Amino acid sequence: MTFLRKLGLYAVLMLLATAGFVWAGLQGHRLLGDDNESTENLNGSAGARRGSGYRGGHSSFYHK
Amino acid sequence: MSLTDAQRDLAAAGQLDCPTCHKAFPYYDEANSVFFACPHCATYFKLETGKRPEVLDHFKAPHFVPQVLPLGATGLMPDGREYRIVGFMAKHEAKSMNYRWGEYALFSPPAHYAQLSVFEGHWQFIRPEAEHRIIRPNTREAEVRVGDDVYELYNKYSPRLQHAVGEFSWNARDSHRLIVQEFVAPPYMLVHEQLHDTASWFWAEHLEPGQVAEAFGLPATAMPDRHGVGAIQPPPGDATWKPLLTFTLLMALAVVLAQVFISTAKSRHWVLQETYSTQPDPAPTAVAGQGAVIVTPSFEVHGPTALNFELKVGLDNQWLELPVNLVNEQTGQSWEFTKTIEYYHGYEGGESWSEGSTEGDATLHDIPSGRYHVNLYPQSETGQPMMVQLRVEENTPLQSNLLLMLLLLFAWPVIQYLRRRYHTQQRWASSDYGPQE
Repeated sequence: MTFLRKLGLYAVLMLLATAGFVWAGLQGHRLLGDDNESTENLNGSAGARRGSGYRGGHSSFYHK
Repeated sequence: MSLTDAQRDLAAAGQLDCPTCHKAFPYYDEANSVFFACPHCATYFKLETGKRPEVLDHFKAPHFVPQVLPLGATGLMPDGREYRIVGFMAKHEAKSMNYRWGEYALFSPPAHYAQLSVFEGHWQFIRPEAEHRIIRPNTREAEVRVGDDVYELYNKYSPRLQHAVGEFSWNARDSHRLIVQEFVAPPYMLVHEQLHDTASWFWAEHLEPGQVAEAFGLPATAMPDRHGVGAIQPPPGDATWKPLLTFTLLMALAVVLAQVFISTAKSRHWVLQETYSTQPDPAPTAVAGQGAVIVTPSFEVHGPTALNFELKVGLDNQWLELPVNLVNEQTGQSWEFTKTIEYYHGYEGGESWSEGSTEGDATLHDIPSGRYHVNLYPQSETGQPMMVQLRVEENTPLQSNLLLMLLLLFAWPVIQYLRRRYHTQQRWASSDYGPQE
């Protein structure tokens, strides 16, 4: 493990990044990119939502 | 002030009078120095005990290579010995005066000799070395093996002396008779000097200019600027290169195993598998091609987790735009993505062609636990019914995380590799030997 001493801060940063990777995997958290296009809040009201132009956006998605 | 033993040993043995300018200068190696170059007028003479001085030459090129370390200066060298600078020579290769360098003769009592050479700002500490065997001598591929290290032929030349000051135990003017071969394994070099039938070996190691300046108590700004890459200048990150490779490979293995562990600990499974047929939207306000909203049955999600949506559509030479809306039935929070799926095919010019796909997928992450359903809002060119299969997988492995982590792990090693490779190319660009492009 002498290489850990030689690499110092770099090794610490990579170990922290790996810990973050494991945490993200267990949480189902995607580190890069997001397919979600919604900007709705918890109340279900839309913010400035992206969407294809000709549909004009779904002003009220169907909720059961 | 009392002198240490080392300082006492290094003190001047006496003073000499120059036979030409008659100015006095100190000398240090009383037992072995025979040749002297006056630091005042550069008269080169031989002086043996009990004999009169014999003038051999008058050097006339004091500025051929600037002398930055003064005669008499002392410094601690990497071999742990305190050396005094007793001589300086300015040389060039016989084939060109553009290849010029300086050599400092170092002396450590009672009889330890070494040299410091400087070429285009690159310093080497050189000591006598035991004899070695040259493999494939007199070829471009000549090399010397020492243990596991391979020293490759880097340069072959005959030196010419332009200027000298100080004292020498050998005739400095004999340099022109030497045939020198340099074999490199950075940061070290083996030097083979052939004088008639006599071969001598030397071992050189790279020194940073700052090391030399510090050893002789000079400011770093006094050192000549470096140009290009030195013959044995180590590549960037040399001290940490092997540990970095070992660490990176171990971490990459650990990351892959961690991904396997995560996939095992959170087993993936389908929470929804439904097939629908799109129908035209009966609402009078519906635009052409707009399909009726499809609402799936409710399903439980055990989060936080990532959900993968797989869509398969019965398309034939048309497109379908499918906004998909995941709704948490307890909180009303929703996630949305849109997939445009299109598939066209035909036969043209004697060949079949197709483009697009009948499938699409998307991943939503950070989905908390709860009861959910999915709304689909199909929109097609004609609005005619088509089959839509939707599958939702829980705990889907996030391979993009693995890819990102591996990219992060290998980024610095790759950058270092490219820097080291460029450095090595630059080194060999200054040589007539070595790898051929």
